[in-house]
Amino acid sequence: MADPIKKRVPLGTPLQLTDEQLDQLSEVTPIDIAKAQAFWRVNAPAEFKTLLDAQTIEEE
Amino acid sequence: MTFPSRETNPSIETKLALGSSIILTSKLGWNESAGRYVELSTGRFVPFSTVRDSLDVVAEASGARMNTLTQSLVNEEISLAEWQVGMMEQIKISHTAAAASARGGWAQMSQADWGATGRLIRAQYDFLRNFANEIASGKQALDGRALFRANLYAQAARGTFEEIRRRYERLMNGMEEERRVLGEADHCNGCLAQAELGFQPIGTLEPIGSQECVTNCHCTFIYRKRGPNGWIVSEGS
Repeated sequence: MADPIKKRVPLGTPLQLTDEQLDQLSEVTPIDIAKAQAFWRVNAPAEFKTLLDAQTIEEE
Repeated sequence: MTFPSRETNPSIETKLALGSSIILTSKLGWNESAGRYVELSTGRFVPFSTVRDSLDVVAEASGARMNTLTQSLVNEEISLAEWQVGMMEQIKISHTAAAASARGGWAQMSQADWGATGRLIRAQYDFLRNFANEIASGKQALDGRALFRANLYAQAARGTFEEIRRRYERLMNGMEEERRVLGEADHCNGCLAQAELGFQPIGTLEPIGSQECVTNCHCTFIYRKRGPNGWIVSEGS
């Protein structure tokens, strides 16, 4: 039988990220965009789930 | 660099993103010269307040994820590094969506827009690094105050929305001046002072989220430019 008491995870140390690494990690990649698209579709109000899929319309 | 992998337990967004390339058809379009969403069936502009409300709902969902992550950290279920990775992912998701919502959707985002978005995310990553260091040093208590502070990162998406919109109004729409409009909430002294300045050259007022109310700020900007018959105002709402 599994131990009902969960093992505590030590806090550990924070990621030691340099300014250069933060610059690199903050760039928005295609996979980041895909994740944000999915998150919007799952969580936006029903009538606006496809808001961000809008295309530019031609003016008359 | 030690960077914990989350590949063994990818988020729902990762699964969806990797598993599909669905292109949805929107009932809305984007009018580039007006800088507004349009209901395709009626031709009516969608108020920006409605777009902001939708973003608020998405930001709240992101805040809930951040809250869960931080609660897991408080409960000693995940390490500080794992929390940091999860928070960075949520920050990027919420700010990426905020930028696209301000700019008219994914299709309208240019490389330069993504660059501007990345710089706004970078600023949040800087704040998060300090947050993590303060948790490690004990300066930041791991209790309700940490949960409150973590939630501010989700709220910051509103500031990204306003900054990307401001960028559009300046570069694409030729707007010359901006004015801070107080939101429907209590106002901090900084926001009141900024609003009292009235119209100022675009890009010179303090960004949304920079005052004492930080990312809880619900202020917006409106913009104007000179036209043949006087000022043309771009509604912020």
